[in-house]
Amino acid sequence: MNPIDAPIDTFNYMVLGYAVILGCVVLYIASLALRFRHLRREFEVYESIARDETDEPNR
Amino acid sequence: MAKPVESDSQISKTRGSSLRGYLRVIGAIVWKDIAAELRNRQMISAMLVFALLVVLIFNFAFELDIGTRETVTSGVLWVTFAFAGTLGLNRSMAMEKDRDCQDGLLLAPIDRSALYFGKVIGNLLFMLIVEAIILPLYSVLYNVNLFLPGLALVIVLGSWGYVAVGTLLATMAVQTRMRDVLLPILLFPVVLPVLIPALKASNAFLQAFEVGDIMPWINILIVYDLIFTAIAFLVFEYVVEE
Amino acid sequence: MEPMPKQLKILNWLTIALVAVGLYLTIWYAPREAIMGDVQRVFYFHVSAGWAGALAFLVAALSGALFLIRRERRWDRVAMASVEIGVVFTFINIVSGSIWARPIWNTWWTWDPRLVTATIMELVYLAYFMLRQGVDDPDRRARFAAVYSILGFLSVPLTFLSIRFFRSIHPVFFGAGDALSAGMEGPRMWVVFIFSLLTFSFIYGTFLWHRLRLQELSERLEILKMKLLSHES
Repeated sequence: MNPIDAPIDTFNYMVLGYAVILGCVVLYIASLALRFRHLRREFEVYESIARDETDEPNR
Repeated sequence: MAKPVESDSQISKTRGSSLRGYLRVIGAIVWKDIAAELRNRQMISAMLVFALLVVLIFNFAFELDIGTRETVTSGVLWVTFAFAGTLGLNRSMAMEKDRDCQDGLLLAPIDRSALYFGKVIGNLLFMLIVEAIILPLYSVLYNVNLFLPGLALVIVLGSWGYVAVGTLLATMAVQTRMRDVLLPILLFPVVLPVLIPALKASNAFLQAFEVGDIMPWINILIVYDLIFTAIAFLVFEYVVEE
Repeated sequence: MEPMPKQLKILNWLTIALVAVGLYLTIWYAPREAIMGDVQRVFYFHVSAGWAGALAFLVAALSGALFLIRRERRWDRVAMASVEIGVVFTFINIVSGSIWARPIWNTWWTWDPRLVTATIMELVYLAYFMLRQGVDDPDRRARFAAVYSILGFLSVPLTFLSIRFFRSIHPVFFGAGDALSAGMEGPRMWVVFIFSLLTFSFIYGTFLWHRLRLQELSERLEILKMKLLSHES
């Protein structure tokens, strides 16, 4: 226990704590967004291939 | 070389919905494993050599002077058993898969749970054999008296819990791409509730604590053994479907 | 790719609002703790993240059980998404717990039963993903994952009890015993605490919905790819 009666200055650790918590949340959101974007792009690529296929069924 | 066909037909002959039939199936599976192992003794020797090596490594890893030896023995023993146990579990289930025994067993009209208990008892037997050899060896190497009935009880109970969960997880691990490597990763975090009381109780017996103080740990160990066995028994069928 | 349903958009905004209010409450409204100072404020989100992680794993275990019983693919999807989010929350729980411990007990790590159990839980669910990656057949993958998530979820509280029991017999001076009671005085703190739990529950729900949509998109892409492949051959 503290011999001095004032609370210890832990402000910096509080900032660090919040930074980590919010940082992780933001990072996860970013990972979701990136994965969405990647999948959508791939989808477009494959859809255009599918369209080309139906346009030229004979190869 | 194993002849799965023989034992499979033996198992089919013992089908029946009676308790005796059920027990006979379990016995047949255990006997099949014992017979297979007796033929070449690969699994037991691998487990033994491995366990010995682990014990030796611990000698270099820790300063095992008289004082620390007593506090550390319980941990060293259980780590050794856990690792050697993994080896045994892997081999036991891989053997089923490799020789297509498992398919044969699954085709036989037996209860899947009988298959589970059969494998558990077989695996437990092999683990106990290895432990029975390691204990006196450790006693001699480190001059610690390990011939305590209380310790033996804890080791049996702990090994049962370990094998009850391990058999289920090994059945899964062996069907994955990584096979053997995956088992410790799956098993160790999940089997801790069994290992922790086992460790504590072993340590308590070794340091000659009051039996009254040790009993709670043994009780916890028994309860956890029952819980894990029940769960594993219930879900095993989902793990051997084809 | 279907657009975000209206309810999800509303949920997004609602969650963001909750987080904003939660930040205000924990940083300004909540009273300053007498002994630990400002870092104690981290505790609200630290515990809430832990709670959300446990909730995620409960959902995963239940979904796993539902999959085994009903064999409907969507339960496997829910289980996987939930475990992924649970891993994130548990990570937040562990690291924020460590940051909280540092100025108070002068150590980055305390062998507190809660922290240790959280770490073990994290390892169990990382193993869950390794198991999933090792199985190619989707049905078997779902079955195995379900079995493991059920086993894992039941095992973790037992581990906690074992460790707790150990500590009660050999009290180690490492932590201010019960983390929850340490510094929870007054109605204000309780209000903020309950609100934080609510906020993180909403974050979990929102993440889950988005992750499920991502998974559906991924599966539709796979079907499209296979269709094209069979077309060419």
